[in-house]
Amino acid sequence: MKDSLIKGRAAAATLAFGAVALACASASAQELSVGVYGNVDYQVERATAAAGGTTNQNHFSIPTLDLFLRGTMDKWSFLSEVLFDIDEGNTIGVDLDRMQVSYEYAEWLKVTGGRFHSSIGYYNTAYPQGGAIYLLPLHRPALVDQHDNASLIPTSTVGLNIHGRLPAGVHAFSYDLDVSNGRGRAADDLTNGQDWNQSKAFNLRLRYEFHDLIVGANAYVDWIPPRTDDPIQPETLREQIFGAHIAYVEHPWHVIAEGVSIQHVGAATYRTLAGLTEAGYTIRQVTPYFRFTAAKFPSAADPFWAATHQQERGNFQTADAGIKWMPNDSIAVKFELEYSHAQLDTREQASTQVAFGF
Amino acid sequence: MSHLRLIATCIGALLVAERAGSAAGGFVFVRNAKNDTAQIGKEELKDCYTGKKKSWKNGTPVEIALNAGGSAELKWVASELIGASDDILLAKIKQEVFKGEMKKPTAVASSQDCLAEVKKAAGAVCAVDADTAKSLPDGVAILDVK
Repeated sequence: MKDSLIKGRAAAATLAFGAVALACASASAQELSVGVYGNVDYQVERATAAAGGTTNQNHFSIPTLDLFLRGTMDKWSFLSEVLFDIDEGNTIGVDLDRMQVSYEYAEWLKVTGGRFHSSIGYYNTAYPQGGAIYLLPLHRPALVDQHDNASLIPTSTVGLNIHGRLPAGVHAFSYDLDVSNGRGRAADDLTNGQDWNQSKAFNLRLRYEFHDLIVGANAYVDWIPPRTDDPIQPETLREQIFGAHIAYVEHPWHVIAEGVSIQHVGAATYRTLAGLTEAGYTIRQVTPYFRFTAAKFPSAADPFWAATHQQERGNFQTADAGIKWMPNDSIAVKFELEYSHAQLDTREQASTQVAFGF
Repeated sequence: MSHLRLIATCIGALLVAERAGSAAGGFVFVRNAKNDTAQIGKEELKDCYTGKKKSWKNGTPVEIALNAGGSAELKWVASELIGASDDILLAKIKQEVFKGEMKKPTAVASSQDCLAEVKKAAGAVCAVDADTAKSLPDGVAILDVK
């Protein structure tokens, strides 16, 4: 029943995508771009539990297929991203990852409404989920990994974004202000149609740019409604996220570092610290890369993480090293080794990926 | 001593000839004549091609007319602006479109297409070969890159 419902949704989404594409292709006054992104992976993994015992597995996978539409008309623009992804197990789900309409008054003022990626840190807005071809490693880092709703920050949100950039020679300042519904009752409850409380989430990101170097910081606050059906989270939690990032991503260099502090404040305060560094250097079509990610959770179980997967492995440190080869602008082939050590287990992975974007 | 002078003169003449040859076979950027930005820095133009700079001084949105992948024009644009291959520039542009940071560039197949597009769109910028630029149609002007 669930399978047929998902298949029905997938068919409807595909038909809607096709209809929009055909309708807009004939409208000469507008500009419409259509994109298809996705990736096919193969992975070998060995997991060793801290309590003892080793499991081995290997599998092919099709993590995402992304149908992307973008239209512009003068200062107005529209963007949507329909994502077919594997939520859990082998079930393919359909997700409207982004759907936003924008009006750009000038470079210093652009207003966007809809569902968009929250302006927290660098990675979340620089590398949308479906575009594996543009990532150096195979997947987005744990901080923003939307797979199984396991990201630590609220990656997507529904509301308003106000953005502006003020260039002054080789310097530039930019700002983003998000006012949105914020989190739902759990990390996998995105408030697409209904906000469970009256309060809104507020996020401010400020950046300074010097040539192509970006240095930024952000502050986010939200009030997470209680889960009335779950005694572990009976009260409203105030979520505070503070972060900083630095990035230099200009050919041939790729350097990103960012870190966040996520606090859930109720009767007690639970603080999670997480961060990543990523570096690569492109030589012709090949980019060797390295990434290190780490997260430190509160010693007591954070009630907000309890319903999803964030804290289930405990504190972790993950190192990835690999090579990305782009034979042309539409294909990327990657080979990667990963070592991830957590309180609960240690995982070693070897993976390869063919990612595309047309 | 006179031999050294002769060799130096020959090398100098060769360098001058080489420079003249590259200028004759070079490329230039063109803009719509209504666009009052007649001169632009290379960094700023790179920002136009990669979605960071979204409008000209007069507020007109930047519109990129892009020569086909593999064309001599696009290879020159990529080399001039980001010091890389046209594939890398195209991938960067596609990424910025995907992020929602820039409008998809208009594809042009030839220098004549490029001029027609620039004449049509007030914010358009494109690259043409230097020979074509010698006789630009009304409504199209050179964009001088500092």
